[in-house]
Amino acid sequence: MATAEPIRRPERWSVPFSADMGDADVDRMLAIPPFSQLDPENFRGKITLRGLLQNDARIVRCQPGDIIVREGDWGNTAFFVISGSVRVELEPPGRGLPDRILGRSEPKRKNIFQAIAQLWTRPRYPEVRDAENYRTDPQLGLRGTGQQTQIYLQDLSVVLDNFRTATIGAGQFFGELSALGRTPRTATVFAYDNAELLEIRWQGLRDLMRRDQKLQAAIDQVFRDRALSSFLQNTPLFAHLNEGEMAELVAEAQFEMHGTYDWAVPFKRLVKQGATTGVEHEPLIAQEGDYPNGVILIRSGLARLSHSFHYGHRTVGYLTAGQIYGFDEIEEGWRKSQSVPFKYSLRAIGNTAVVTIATPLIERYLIERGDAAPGRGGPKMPVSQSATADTSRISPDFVEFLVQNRFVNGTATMLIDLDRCTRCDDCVRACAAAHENNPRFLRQGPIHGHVMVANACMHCVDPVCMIECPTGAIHRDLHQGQVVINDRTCIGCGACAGNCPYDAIRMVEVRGGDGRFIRDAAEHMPLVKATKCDLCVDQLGGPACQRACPHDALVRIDMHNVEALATWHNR
Amino acid sequence: MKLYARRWRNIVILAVLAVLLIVGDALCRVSLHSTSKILGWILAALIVGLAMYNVRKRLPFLPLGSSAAWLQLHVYAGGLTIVLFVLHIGWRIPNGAFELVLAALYVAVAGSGVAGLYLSRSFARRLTTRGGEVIFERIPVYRKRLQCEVEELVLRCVSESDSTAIPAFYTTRLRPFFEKSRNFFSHLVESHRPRQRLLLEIQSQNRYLNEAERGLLVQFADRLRQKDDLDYQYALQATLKYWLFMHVPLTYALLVFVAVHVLLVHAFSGGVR
Amino acid sequence: MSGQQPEFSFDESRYERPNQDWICGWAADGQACPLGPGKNGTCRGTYQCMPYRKDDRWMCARSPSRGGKCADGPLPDGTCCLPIPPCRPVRSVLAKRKLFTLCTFAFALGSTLLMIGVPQRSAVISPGCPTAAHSTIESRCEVCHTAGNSGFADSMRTASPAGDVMQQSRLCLNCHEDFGPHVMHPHSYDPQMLAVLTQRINGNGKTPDAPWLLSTARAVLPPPGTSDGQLACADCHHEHRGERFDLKHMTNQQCQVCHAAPFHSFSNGHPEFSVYPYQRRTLLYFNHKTHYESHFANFERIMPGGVAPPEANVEQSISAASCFHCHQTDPQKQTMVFRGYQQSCAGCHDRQITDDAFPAMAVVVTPPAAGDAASGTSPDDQLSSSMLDRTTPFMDLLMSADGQPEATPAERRQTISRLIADLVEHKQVRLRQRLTDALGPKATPAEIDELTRLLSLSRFVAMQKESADAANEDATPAQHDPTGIGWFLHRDDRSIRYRPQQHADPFLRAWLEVTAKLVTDRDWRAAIDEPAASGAEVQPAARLFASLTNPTSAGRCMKCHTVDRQADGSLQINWFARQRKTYERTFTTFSHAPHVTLMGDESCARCHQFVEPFELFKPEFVGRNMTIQTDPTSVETSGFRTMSKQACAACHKPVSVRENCLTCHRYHVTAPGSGVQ
Repeated sequence: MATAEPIRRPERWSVPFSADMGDADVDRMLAIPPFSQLDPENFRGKITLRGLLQNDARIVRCQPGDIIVREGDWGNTAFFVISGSVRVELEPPGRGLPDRILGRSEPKRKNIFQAIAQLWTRPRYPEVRDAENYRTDPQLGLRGTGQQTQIYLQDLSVVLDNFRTATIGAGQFFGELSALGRTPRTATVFAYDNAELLEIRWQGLRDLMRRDQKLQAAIDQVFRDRALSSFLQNTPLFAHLNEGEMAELVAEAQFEMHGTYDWAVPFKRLVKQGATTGVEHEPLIAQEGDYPNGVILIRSGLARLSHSFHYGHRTVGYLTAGQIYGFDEIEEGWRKSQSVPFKYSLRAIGNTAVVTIATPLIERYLIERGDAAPGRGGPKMPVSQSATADTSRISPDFVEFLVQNRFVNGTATMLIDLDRCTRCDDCVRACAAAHENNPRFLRQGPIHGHVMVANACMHCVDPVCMIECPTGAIHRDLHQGQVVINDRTCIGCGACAGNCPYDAIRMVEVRGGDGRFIRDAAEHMPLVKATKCDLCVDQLGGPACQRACPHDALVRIDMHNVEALATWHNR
Repeated sequence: MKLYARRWRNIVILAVLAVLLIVGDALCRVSLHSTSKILGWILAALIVGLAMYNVRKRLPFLPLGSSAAWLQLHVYAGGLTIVLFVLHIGWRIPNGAFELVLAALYVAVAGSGVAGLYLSRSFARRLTTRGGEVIFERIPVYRKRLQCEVEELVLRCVSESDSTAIPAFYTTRLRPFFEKSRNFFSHLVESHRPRQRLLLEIQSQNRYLNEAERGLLVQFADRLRQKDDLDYQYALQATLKYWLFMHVPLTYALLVFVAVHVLLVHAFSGGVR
Repeated sequence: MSGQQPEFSFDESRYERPNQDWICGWAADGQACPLGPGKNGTCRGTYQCMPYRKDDRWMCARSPSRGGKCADGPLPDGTCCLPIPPCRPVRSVLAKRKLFTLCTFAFALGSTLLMIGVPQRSAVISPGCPTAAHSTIESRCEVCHTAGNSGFADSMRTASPAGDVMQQSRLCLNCHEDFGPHVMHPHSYDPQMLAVLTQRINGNGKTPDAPWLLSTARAVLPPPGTSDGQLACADCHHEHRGERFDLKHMTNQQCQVCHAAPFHSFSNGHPEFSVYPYQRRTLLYFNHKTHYESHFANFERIMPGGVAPPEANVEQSISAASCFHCHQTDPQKQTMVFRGYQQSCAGCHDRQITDDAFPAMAVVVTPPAAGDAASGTSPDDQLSSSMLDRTTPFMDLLMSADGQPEATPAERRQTISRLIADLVEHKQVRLRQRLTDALGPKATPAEIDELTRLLSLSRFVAMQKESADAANEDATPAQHDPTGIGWFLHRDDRSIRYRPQQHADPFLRAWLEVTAKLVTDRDWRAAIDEPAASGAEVQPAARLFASLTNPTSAGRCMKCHTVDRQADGSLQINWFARQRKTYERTFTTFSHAPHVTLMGDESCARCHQFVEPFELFKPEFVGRNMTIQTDPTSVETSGFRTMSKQACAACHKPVSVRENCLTCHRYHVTAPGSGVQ
């Protein structure tokens, strides 16, 4: 197993974003602002502007109605409008474009009769699909083939009549915030006319920003105005601040990204080699023993809390979006009027976005207004600022196991207590019964002690699987939060399966009712679809696996509900 | 609620119900009210209710309560049926042919249930201790793989040495062991004797071998341990699956007999309470 | 995940599908074919891909997940170069179980249908063999069950809640017909009578103290039976519990659940035997105490020449004074009955009956013969005249219809001589006439015939003459009757006397019985109070009865036998010690035999204890001849104490001998055909 075969360090641009980006295209780009206005002096060394455009960008040509990004999608690219215009839909959440025409599955819960009817309607063969579904859908516009499959709005004028939209014209960026911040797209954008877009990978955008102050400032400003202010406003810690104070906070806040953006693939490789994926692979956000210059708020991603212990590190907990770090130390320091160092180190697990609020602001707005401080009748923290309180009830090695394997990413991780599990496979059969005779997970997985983390989709807080889906078939259900795949729009590219750090997405060859494979007309190969656990989103009772376990062995647990995890682990 | 607390709570509830039943039965007997009918109906209803667990398992997608809750109910209500059954037959073995079969069926179903409960609780724990975690259906695959590996070693041995000690030993002793799952019952009772014996035999081959062959022998021992662990998993997992081959089919037979019994009793009671 | 045994590569693993019925036969080798078996377990494996034609070339269409396009490519005829060898699909564990379940279910269904379908079904569906007594009807369900011979629908209907709960009990009564009109009511007893009994118990104001189970059952559950208070047979008698099952078995608590005054057990709470059994009237004057303690021990001294009664038919060795001398178990082994006069009393008392120390009974006084009267120059003419007028109560009775009491002495003398003539010559017709006239209609002709026959003095007179002639004046003043018929001549007063020869002497008995019928107790008392009074005040029959019942009269019948007043005022003599006319089925039963067998010689005294202190001359014995018993519960006691429950409870306690209600009590109390002995 662990024959640590040396691998060649992958280099930047060894795999370009698009092979179609030719020199002519790059020249054309370099001729138009803002690229023409960039100072080539800033692009020296390996990262040249030309190289960047060639490898990190591609030109996307849209027809009217083509959907470019959907609200709720996760994407790692930003868009620059070269010509034509696109429209961004501005309706408030819930009133936006219907899921169906966006190419998403409609989360429709079965009624009792439909549920019972599954008994006899479910096919006898595995992975049976109605091939008709893949052919026609009057409401869903699909064009292009293979990787170029594109979903478009069929009746653009009706959409424009019925939904408020804003125009983004040539020369403007969009989608950069969620690309850089690894947050879901906040709005749906579609082409209004035959628009030409430059799609830039987030790495390219990052490098552009680093080398161009103006771009940096512009994007920074947009980020502060939109994303940061809304994040801080939604943080209960600051809910009591007035508008002016909040504006000050937004202006002063520091924003940082830590860790690897596309951490999943390297992580998987390490795991497969049997290498340790522990502390040494996680970038430090704050160091134990350093003096705090502010409170760190996790905006997205996950972070490990640890302290050094003899020659190693002992993990005492993990933080997730919305949780804060360093408040205790600052408060203690304020009371003692001396600097108190951080008690723990904070490290990014995967990719972590943090916001730092400087110590003076914290002292002024939180600590000095004693009533507003956490724990004194003021606003409650989302979860304890020092997550140790809860994780202390879990054995440290189990916490270490969960963090090291990054299972803390899960919101519905399947844990199986092997001391109680009789291997009856009731969970698998229940899963199959709820999914037209198809199991959607493997009752196998890494084991720690008597707890197995089964190979089922955990519905991650940081769903890296969603990043590269070309059609948005894999998406987070906007209403309930599960990560689901729309079988109809899935093109079987396997990007999600490859990205999933936990191998929880499985590609299956689909069949017709007679049990034979459905083959595509061109290649004559079986159609392949990505499948995974959907938490029984369309069933009446919730996850069938958990309800089907006769021995209380299997549980779907939100790793961020440490209380529940500790209770389950110590039962 | 912690699991042991839940267990105690349920046991106490069961005990209270059992005592109530026994006392109620005694009260009715004292007052010359026949309890056979009412106990019989409760028993029949409980048995049907217990059998409904099987139906619940076929409808996992309906919000019918968790299977774990059902099992808890199943276990403790099943315990209650034992009390009811003993009261119903009046502490004596029935002597009619039909009723004897009925009682025997019940005893078999209840007995297999109790045995299954014991297996579920004890074997689950034991499974985590040895042989890693294997999916039952994949055990033959792993066994085959191990056998191939061993045979490869033997072939290597044949090609490298002109001694036939190892091939001979393999064909006589090891092949039968690797061919299929072995020592089923030894594993059930956690006996390591067959494994120790084979390992000892492998070790005793040392004196006939040269240096290179001895190295191979160590690998044999390693594969043997893996195969034995696999057998252990097979034995325990198979037992965990196959006890239901008694419990479930006999339950359906029991239901048939219960239905006929109810009809007969109803007809021949002639309206007696 | 690495480090885990056995290795498992998640990125290459397909879903395990334990829910499928069929599994590819190659799956066990880890080489399941992509397509998998068909619905019915057929192998569908053909080739690894389905090549397609493109520009006149066959192209491989193996999917990337199965290894991508193969190196060799399709064969020239367009088939794939990698055939999949056919396999034999196997059922999954679950499918095997399903199949097994289905088979078992079908087998169970078939066998039950067979069981209730075959003609011999009664043997199969019978819930157990009935008790031995019912074993002959085991195969004929219809004898006891309404559903036995009716159709299915009928039996369901009869079994419905609206059905008649008594219908099967009535079938029981087809054979068990002896329980009277109130068979279904508690105790098969008249419910109104039972209500009276219950009322009585309720009236005694005792708070019931019963085992908690019983008190709880009485408090929370309705009493057994239907709303109108009837009980079905099956409420108590549970059949089909095996040959040796005791159908009549009931626990004490079950017995008491209806009772107004329940209690714990016989030893704890059972009422005392307040009136049982020794305030009951005895029919003989008999002092058990004196007999047991002194007479039997010393009879040689008290009754010289007496003979001890023979040993009783009991296995135990009999001590000098043993109850078994006089008592033995009856054939039903229920009671200890008196063994009878001959066995028990005769040894000593025969001599008292025939004792000639007492004057025999004068039946006829003959007037002096003519010669005697002529030589009657004796100074006591007065005496002789009185002698001429002498009569006996027998004569008075026989003459009572003949002449007026106011008659002159001469007339009276004539009357007497006519009677004597009738008697001595035994003129049967006239005697019968006299008896008929004297006794009136109460005497039956048979009795009159018997009395007439017994008064056959003529033969005696004839014999007397012969012997007088032969012995020539040397006869003793009184001499035994050589003929053995009891008659003899008392020469002193010229009376013909009768002395009984044996116990139950026919002459005395006949006259006692007849006169008792004619006499009321008042007449009798008058006759006793004025023994010398003339017949004018006292009826002749009463006088005769009084003289016969005098304890000093010959035979001394009334020494032991008592007299009862009948409902019509007449009297009746109790000739038998205890007369058990019928064995009524009462609530209580007791078997002496097992107790006697078990406890031996000591047994009787354990329960039957004498009244202390010992008083030989108790008032009831002193004045006994004056007593007429009408109250059956009154004092003619045998000198035993009222029996105590303790005597029983000494043995009948929970740990040793059973103390079931049904040991001493019966449930069904009325048995109309009560000839049962």
